[in-house]
Amino acid sequence: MKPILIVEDEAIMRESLQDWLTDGGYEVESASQGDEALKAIEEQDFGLLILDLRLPGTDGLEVLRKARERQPKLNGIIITAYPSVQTAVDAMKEGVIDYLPKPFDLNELEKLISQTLGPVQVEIRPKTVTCVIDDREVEVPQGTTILEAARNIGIDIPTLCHHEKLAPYGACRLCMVEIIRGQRSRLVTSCVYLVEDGLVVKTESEPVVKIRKMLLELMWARAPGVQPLVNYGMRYGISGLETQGNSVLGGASKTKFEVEPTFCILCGLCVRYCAEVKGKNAIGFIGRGTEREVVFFPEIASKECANCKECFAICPTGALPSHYALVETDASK
Amino acid sequence: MGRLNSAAELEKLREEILTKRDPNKPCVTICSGTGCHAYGSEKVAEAFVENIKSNGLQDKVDIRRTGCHGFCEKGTLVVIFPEEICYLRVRPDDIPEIVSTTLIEKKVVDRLLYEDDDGQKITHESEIPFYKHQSRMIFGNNRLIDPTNIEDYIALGGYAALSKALSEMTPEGVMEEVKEANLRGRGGGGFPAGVKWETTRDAPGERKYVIVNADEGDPGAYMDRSLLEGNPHSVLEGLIIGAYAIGSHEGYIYVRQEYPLAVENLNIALKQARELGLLGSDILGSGFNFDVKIHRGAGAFVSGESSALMTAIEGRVGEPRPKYIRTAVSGVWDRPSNLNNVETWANVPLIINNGARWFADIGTEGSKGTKIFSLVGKVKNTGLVEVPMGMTLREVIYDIGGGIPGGKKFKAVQTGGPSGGVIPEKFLDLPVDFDELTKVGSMMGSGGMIVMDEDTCMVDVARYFINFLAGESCGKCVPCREGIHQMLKVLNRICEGESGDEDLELLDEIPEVLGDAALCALGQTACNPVLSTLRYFRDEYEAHIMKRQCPAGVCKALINYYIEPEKCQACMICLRNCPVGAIDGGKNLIHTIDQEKCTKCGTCLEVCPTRFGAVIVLSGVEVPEPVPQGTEVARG
Ligand SMILES: Cc1cc2nc3c(=O)[nH]c(=O)nc-3n(C[C@H](O)[C@H](O)[C@H](O)COP(=O)(O)O)c2cc1C
Ligand code: SF4
Ligand code: SF4
Ligand code: SF4
Ligand code: FES
Ligand code: FES
Repeated sequence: MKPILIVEDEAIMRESLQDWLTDGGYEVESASQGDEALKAIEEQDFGLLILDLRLPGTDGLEVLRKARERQPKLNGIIITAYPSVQTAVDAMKEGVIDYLPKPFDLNELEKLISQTLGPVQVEIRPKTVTCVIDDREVEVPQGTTILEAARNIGIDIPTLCHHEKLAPYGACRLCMVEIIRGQRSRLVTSCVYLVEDGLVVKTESEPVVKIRKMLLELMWARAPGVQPLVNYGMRYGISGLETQGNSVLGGASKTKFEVEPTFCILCGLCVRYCAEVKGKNAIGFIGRGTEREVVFFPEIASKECANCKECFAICPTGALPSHYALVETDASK
Repeated sequence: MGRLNSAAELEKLREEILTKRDPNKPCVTICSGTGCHAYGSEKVAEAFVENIKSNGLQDKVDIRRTGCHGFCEKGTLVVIFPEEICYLRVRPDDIPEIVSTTLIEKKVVDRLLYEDDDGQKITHESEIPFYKHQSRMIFGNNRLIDPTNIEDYIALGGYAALSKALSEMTPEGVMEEVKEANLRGRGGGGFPAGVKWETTRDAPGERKYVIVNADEGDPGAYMDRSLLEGNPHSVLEGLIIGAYAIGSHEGYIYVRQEYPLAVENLNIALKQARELGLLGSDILGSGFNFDVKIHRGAGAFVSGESSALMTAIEGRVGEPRPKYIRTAVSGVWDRPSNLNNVETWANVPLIINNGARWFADIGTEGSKGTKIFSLVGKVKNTGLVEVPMGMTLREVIYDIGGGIPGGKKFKAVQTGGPSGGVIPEKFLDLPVDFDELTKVGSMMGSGGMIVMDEDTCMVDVARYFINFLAGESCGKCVPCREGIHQMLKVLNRICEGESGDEDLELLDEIPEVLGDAALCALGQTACNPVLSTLRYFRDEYEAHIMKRQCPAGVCKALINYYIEPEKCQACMICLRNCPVGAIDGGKNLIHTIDQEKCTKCGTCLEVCPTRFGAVIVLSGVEVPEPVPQGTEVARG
C-alpha cells in the first residue's frame, strides 16, 4: 500500500493526524508546507494526500494540482477550518474525494481513507514479550525498552540523557546493561534496546558497573559536584568523591581525571526538548568532539525563551541559566 | 546516440564504437587525476593539444585525459599508445620533444622514462616494478578511459554485465552469484556483500535504497576518490546491478564534499547513462526502473559510518544513531537500505561478467578478489596499488613499494586507517587479507598502508591517530568524546616526559570501557592504535614512562642533540645553520651545543655532513659535559 502524505502547517494537527493514522497501521509522511510536500512527492509515490486548504505559500488545491502532474491518479482529501461553498465547489472540480470542515471526526476520516486505499493489512493488536531482568520475570508490550521494563518493576537503572517525552538518544551510555542470549552476552544501552522474548538482563553486573564508574568519572571532570553525578558517584564509588553516610566530604581525594569543567555533559536534553517538544530549535549543538557545546541561537532564543525556560528545569547540571544570560546581555546591548 | 532498448542494441553500439576506432592510431593519454592535476597536468594536456595541432597531427593522434594511474608521486604521467610508452614527471616544456621524437620520429625520450635502482630505463608502463607486481582488475581501466566519455567505458565492455544481469539473470540469480563469489565489503569491516544484499531484499517494505559510500575520510586514503573520478561508470554499473538484485529503484551516492571532481564526473556519467537508457525507467528495455541521486557529505570522518551517513541523507545532522536494528533492514527513513563502499560496488560488474568461480579463484580462502591500497610513508614508491588478496606485506612493501629509502630499517606497517593497527617486522610475510590482518590486531579497513622505518616512535604514532580521532569524534557520546580526550592527554604526558605509573593503568582501562560503551564504531575502535602499539612495542611505552627515553629519538621532550667531540671536524656548518644560535664553536674549534638554548629543531643533525656524523640524538641518558670552550680539533 502506498503511503499517505499529510500537508498541514499547524504542527499539533499534523502530528496528531500522523500519529492517529500511523497507529492505525498506515504508512504516513507529513509536510508543513506546499513546497515541502511537492518535494516529497518528487521523491516517492503516495496513495493519498490529506491537504489543509490554507497553507503558507502554495495552497492545498494548488499542491494537489501540481502533484497530479507527476502522479495523475493521486487522490486527495481537503481539510479546512474556513469552509465556504466556493472553495468546496473548487475542490470538487479538482476531483478531491472529500472536503472536510475542521473539526472533523477522525473515525469518519479513517473510513474515507480505507475506502480509498483499501483496508489495512498489518496486525495492530499489541503483542507482549517476556524477559528476565535481574532474575525477575517481566511481561511488557512489544516495543518496550529494557529501561522502561526495568522501571516498571522498580529496578533503577541510572540515566542521564533519557527523558520520557523524547526519542532515545544514547549519549550518556550510563544506562548500559548486560544482556544474555544463550551463551552470548553483550552490553547494550537499555534506553534504546527493545525487550525480546527470552532475553536475560543483568543491570548491575561487573562489566556494567565498571563502565558506569568510568563514565561518571569522565563526566565528573566536566561537571564536578553537580547533584546527579554526586548521587550516582556515591552509588558507584567514583574516585575524588569521599562520602560519609549521605554527605560529601570536602577535600576529596584525587579525581580519576583532571578536572576541566564546562558544566555541561552534553546530554542533549535541552536541545532535544526544545526541538521535539517545543518545536522551536532555539538551542543547539555546535562543534565536534570536545569542542562540541550547547549554544542558544540568539535570533530564536531572544523571542522564545523568556516565556518558556522549560529546558532549564531538565538540565542535569544546571548549566543553562548562565548560557542564557549571554543571550540576555547581548539583547540588551 | 539514442536510447538503447535492448542488450542487442548495446552490443551494436559497442561494435560501432570499436569499428570507428583504429587500435593502431597513436593516442596520448595524460593522467588528469587529482595528484597529477596538482603537478600541472592541465598545462601538459594543453601543450599537447597545441603542439599536435602546430605539427598538423590533429587528425593522426588522439588525446585522452584519464583518471589516476596510481603512481601519483611521479606525475604528470603520460602514456602513449599503442606502444604504451610511459613518461613520468612530464612538464609542459617536455611536450615539443615528446611530439617530435615520439609521435613523429617514433623514438623514445629516454630522460622521461622510469629508471630502476640499477639505472636501467624502462619504456613500458606494465614493466615498471611498481605496476608489474600488481593485478589491476578494478583500477586498471582508469588509464584507458576518459571518465567524461561513456563511449570509452562501453568500448572496453562496459555495461555488458548490467545487460547480462537484466536480460539473462533473475535478481535471485545475481544475488547468488555475488554470494558465491564471496565478495566482502571494501569499506571497513569486510562484511559479505551478498548476505547484506539479501537482508535488504528480504526486509519488509516496498521502497528500498542502495547507497554508495564515497565518504572516504581516512587520512591519506584516496582510492575511492580515484575510482569515482577516473571510472565512475564502473561504480554506477555495479550499483544498478545491485539494485536489480535487491529490488530497489532508488539509489544515493554519498560523496565527500571535498571531492568536487568526483561529483562533476559522476554527474556527467549519470547524465550520459540516462541518455542511453542505462539508468532511469525501463533500463535497456527490461522493464526495470532505477535512478540515483548524488548527496554531498559534510566531510567529517564519522559521516562515513553507516547510521550517520543515512541520517545525513535524510537531511539531518550526520551523527550516529543509537539503534539496534541493522540499516540493511531499517536505514534511510527507516526503510531497508543497503550501503556498500565504492570499491565493493566496482567489483560487481566483474563478478557478473566473469562468474563467481573466476572471482573466487583470486585471493585467499576467506578473502576473494583484489584490494586497492594506498601505500604511503617510508617506501620508495608510493601511490595506489591493487593486488590480489593474500599477497604478503613483504611483496607489497618491497616488490611494489621498492623497500625503505635511505638505507633505513623497516619497523612496522600501519594498516586499516585510524581504527587499524600496526604490524611489526616479524609479520612481514603475512598474507594480506581480511582475516589475517585481524588476527595480528590490525584490520583491512578501507586499505590504508603506512610504512614506518626505524626512526618512527610508536607512542608518537599512537598519539597521531588518537589526536586525529579526538578531532573527528562527533562528540555525542560520553565514552568517545571524553575517553579519547583523556587518552590523548595520557599519550601527550608520555611523549612529554610527564607521565606516571597511573598512565600505564589508564592505557589499559580507557580502551576497555571505550570498546564496550561507545555508541558507534568510531569510538569502539578508537583505541586500536594504542592497543596494537602496546601489543608489539610495549617496551617503547615503558622506556618513555620509566626511563624518560624515546628509543627512536622522536619525542622532543625526551631527547637532546649532542655533538660528539671526537667526531666534530669544525666545519662550522651546524653553527651557521642553527636558527637560535645554540651552537658554540669557531674555526678549528670543537663545536658544542648549549642545551639551554637548543629548541631541538634537529637542523644540526640534518646539516652535519654524513661523512662526519658528529651530531647524535641522546635519549634517556645524561648529556655529557661539553668540552671546555676553545678546545681545538685534533687532526690526525
Ligand atoms: C567512523 C567510521 C567511518 C567510516 N567511513 C567510511 C568511509 O569513508 N567509506 C566507507 O566505504 N565506509 C566507511 N565506514 C564503514 C561503513 O560504516 C560501512 O560499514 C561500509 O560503508 C559498508 O560498505 P562495505 O560493506 O562495502 O564495506 C566507516 C565506518 C566508521 C565507523
Ligand atoms: S546544557 Fe544541560 S541539558 Fe543541555 S546538554 Fe548540557 S547538561 Fe544537558
Ligand atoms: S562513538 Fe564517537 S563518533 Fe560515535 S557517536 Fe559516540 S561520540 Fe560520536
Ligand atoms: S637542534 Fe636545532 S636548536 Fe638545537 S642545536 Fe641543533 S640546530 Fe640548534
Ligand atoms: S540514558 Fe541511555 S544512553 Fe543516556
Ligand atoms: S593522479 Fe596521476 S597517477 Fe594518480
